[in-house]
Amino acid sequence: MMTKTELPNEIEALLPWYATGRLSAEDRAKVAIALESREDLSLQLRLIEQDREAAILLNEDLGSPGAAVWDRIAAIVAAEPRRLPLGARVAQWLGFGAGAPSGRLAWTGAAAAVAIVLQSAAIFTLLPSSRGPGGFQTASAPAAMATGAQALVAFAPETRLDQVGALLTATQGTIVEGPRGGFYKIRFGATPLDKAGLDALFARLRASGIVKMALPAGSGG
Amino acid sequence: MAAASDLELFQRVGAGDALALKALYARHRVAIYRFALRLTRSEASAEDVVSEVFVDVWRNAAAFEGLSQPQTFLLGVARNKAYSLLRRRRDEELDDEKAAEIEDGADTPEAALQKRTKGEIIRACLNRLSAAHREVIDLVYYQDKSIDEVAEIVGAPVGTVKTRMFHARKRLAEFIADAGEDRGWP
Repeated sequence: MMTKTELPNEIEALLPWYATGRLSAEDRAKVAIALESREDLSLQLRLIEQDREAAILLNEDLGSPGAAVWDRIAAIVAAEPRRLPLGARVAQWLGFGAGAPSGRLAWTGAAAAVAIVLQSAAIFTLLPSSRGPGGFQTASAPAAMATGAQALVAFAPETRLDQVGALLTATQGTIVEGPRGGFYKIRFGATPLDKAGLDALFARLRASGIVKMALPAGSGG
Repeated sequence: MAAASDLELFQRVGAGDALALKALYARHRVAIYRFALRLTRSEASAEDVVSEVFVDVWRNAAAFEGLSQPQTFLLGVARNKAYSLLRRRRDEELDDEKAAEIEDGADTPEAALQKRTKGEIIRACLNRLSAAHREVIDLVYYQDKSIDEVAEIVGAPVGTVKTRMFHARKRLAEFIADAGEDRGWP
């Protein structure tokens, strides 16, 4: 009988991912070479294929969530609508933002677009601070991209999404990359922080109770 | 016309686009539901997990614009919620690690013996595995996740994932042998 302390050798530990095609080229080559000379590994691979087929059939028999699930979600979404600032919406419609609709979802209309552009132009006319030296500039255009402090943050394993969301809201944080190696790169605010500001930010992160580790990662841009 | 990527949909949800949330839901609801159902063994609990995951996405997506693998992220959120449900359902004093190690008695060795085909026996034995072993088996065999992706979802080091998968395979093989199907390993 297998004990908890028994460890697999490197190759047999990789076999399941070899079977599913989810290994790196280097690991795949290592397994392929070992399989040529070790009958025990070939047997394990055949068993893995049997187990995998059974797991797929088992899962495929499980059905789908009922229609009431989406109804429940939709009711909450309807009760909690969120709207972007107008300038950001215009930037999206004009294609500046990464989330520009690109015509893929049927929620846009030319008339509405024209109306919002006109509204936006009117608002920017009333707000001198939104004019760059060269004239009109949207809130999310590249020149106005945030340059806040960035940090690499690893969250504690039991952290819930709503806790992360609350911390990010409180610190004006936005995840800009990751996770890689368990770390998210997070940008805080839109302006660089001096040392005292950084110290305060990291103290706040560590005091949150959900941050396992936080490391400086320079400024965003 | 090309479909929007998960990342694009996530970004649109962050911008307040409810239709993008619906598109994300349509794309991932089945995978998340089945993953949650295998962990919780309750259709009602699995549906609760699915709705909680997408409500969380709606409320917090704006903070996750840089997600590299949205589906892996969604499964990780679903896992945490499923374990929260399991923890509430089981003895409050059991920690996640211990709760995850409890093997299930629903499909007993006797029940497995009554299955006719090898595939039926294996499926019955898959149901006997602990939650920790079921989840790693499902993530690798059914959800097609890489080692790194499984590590991200379960919040464990890569080495632990490989070892846990190996133990899950061994335990499954032992159950299958108990059911009278000698496959020659381990």
